[in-house]
Amino acid sequence: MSIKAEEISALIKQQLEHYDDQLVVDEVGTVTYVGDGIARAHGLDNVMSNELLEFSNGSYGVAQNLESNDVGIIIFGRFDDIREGDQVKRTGRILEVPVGEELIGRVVNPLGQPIDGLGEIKTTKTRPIEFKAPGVMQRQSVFEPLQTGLKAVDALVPIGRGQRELVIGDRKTGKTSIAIDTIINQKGQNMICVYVAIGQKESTVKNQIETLRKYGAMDYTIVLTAGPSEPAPMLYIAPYAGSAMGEEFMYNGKHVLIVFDDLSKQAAAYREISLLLRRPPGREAYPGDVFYLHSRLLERSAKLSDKLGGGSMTALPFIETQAGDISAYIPTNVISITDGQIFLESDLFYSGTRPAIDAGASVSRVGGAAQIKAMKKVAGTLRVDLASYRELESFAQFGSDLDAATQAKLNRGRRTVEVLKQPLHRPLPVEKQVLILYALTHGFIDAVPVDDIARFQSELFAFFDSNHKDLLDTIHNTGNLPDEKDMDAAINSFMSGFSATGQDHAEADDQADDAKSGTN
Amino acid sequence: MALDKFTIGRRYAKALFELAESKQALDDTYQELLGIRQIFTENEDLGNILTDMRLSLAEKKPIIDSLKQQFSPLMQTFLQMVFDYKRMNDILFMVDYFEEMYDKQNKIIRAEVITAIALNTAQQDKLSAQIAQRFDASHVQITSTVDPDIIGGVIVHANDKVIDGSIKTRLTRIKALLLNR
Repeated sequence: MSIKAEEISALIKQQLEHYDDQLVVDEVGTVTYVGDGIARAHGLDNVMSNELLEFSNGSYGVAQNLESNDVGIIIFGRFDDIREGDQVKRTGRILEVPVGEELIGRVVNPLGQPIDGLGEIKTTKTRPIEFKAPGVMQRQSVFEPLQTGLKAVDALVPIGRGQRELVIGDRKTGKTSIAIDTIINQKGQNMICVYVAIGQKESTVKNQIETLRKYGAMDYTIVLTAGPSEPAPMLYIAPYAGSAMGEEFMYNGKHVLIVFDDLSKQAAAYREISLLLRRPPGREAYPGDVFYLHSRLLERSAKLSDKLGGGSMTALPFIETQAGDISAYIPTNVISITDGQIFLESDLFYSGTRPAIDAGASVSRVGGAAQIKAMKKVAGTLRVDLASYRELESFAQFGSDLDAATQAKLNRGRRTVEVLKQPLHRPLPVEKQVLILYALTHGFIDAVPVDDIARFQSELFAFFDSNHKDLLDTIHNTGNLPDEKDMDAAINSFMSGFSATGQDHAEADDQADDAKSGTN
Repeated sequence: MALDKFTIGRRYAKALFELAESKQALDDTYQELLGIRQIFTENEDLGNILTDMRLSLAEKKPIIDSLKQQFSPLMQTFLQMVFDYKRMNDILFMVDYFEEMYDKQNKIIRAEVITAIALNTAQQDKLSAQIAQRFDASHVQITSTVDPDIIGGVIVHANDKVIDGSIKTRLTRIKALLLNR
């Protein structure tokens, strides 16, 4: 098809018609210092805090420190070609990111620009990255469950939609896996997920994106990443930009899950900026407002009132501890802000208990209200039982003669730990979680050797899928536990057909187990 | 923390300004400061030499004395004091801030005007009248520069503000509009 010249000129004419020639008056300042991702500028007398500024090389910055003689600016983008004496211009706006449905399935940087090579994102709306959290009257309490698909989380530390649940642990304890599995399990749950990677290795992020894509989770997920090679200001704004993207959906009545992976790196980036801006360092060299840094971010995750559409934003902030030290500055801050924490332990992780959730130290302050009735029934005492098992376990190492009750407790505890183990990227629907926990708490598994529990579980699920689908459906649809007689009968009929590899030697195995734990 | 040069300039200039004002010698002081600015811009190293720790007082004394003698007694004491406090390398900031205060009091606006072709007197008068009206000033001092790069129109820098009416900027804006950016 040939392009007609007159069509182009007609188009230009039409566009030029709307070009109104206004004389713009810009307020400018002069750069007096630039380096390490920050700049100082003289002049700019009327600039406002957090205002967006434009440098003469086209980079943007945000005014952070307003001092009597100069303005401290953090720069987003290139700063190597900004020179002393360059002009910096006020824009009168604050930093905004593009938001909307168009971002779903894409990988973007903290400014909302695509970095996945899939072309331009044609968004129509923007939101300021700093936004006031909803107030008391705009909220309601959390009541809908957010199923992570992880037995250990959904049973022990249930999460509700609109809750902020901290995931905390040393490096390499499976924090990111919890996030990825949770995102994968949101398929078909009417959820939009935002995964914010802050200072994560580009190769790791690439792997996570591939995993999400493989399980079809990218259809409802936005990945926002600020890699370690980006300057600190990018890492600092990343979670706020992610929250802005999530808020757009929340205020439109939708449900959002946002993962901040991880906030310790954001705090470190903010510390870097603050020190360069010559703000006084405080504890661990963090600036004085590092608490506010996280509290204003996490407060934006909320369950909105029905008047505002009832949308929600659930936050899973991550904190990486050093050698399990949760009493460091940033961990204590974030623990006090969030509605509970999932504590991951490297000892458990390396002993094969994965997810490596420490049942004693993990809590959920509001999630219980969001658990379905059936789950509440079967998992009610699980947490306490598990904690008492851990206690007994270490105690039982000293004595050899144990009474029957203690033996039974140890027996049950060992099986509980085994049942709560779950392989990577294999989230379970809630009805199956209820089923296996029912079998556990009603003593059906007590006779199954520990090594056979994984097989027992998968065969039990297969059996129910083919023979007792109605029971699973009841749990799924009503949230209530079916009649106990039906459940018991169904499990018993499965048990009669289940031949464990060491069924005959179960007793012997158990004794061997006891002996092992006694010598360990 | 060491004071930065802007703060130093402001403090010394304010003191000098208030003193000169009480002695009703503002205009004379201002003229003398312009002379100092000229000397210091023509001899870039002068300020550094006068504060250099490696030079002894005896070596610096003849320089400061010869510098002082051409000025009024008020300015002489000012220079001596700045020298004694080892702030000679910041003297241009003091002059700058003094000028700022002086301009504010007399409602003078200093405007830098960039045009593609040189302005004639009538055009300059008209422009300064316009600038005076815009910034509410009674007197406008125009520094005119010619930059053929801007093609046409005029760019005015005044009071940390830029009024850009150049053809070049308009063309870039039309370009952005047509490219939908």
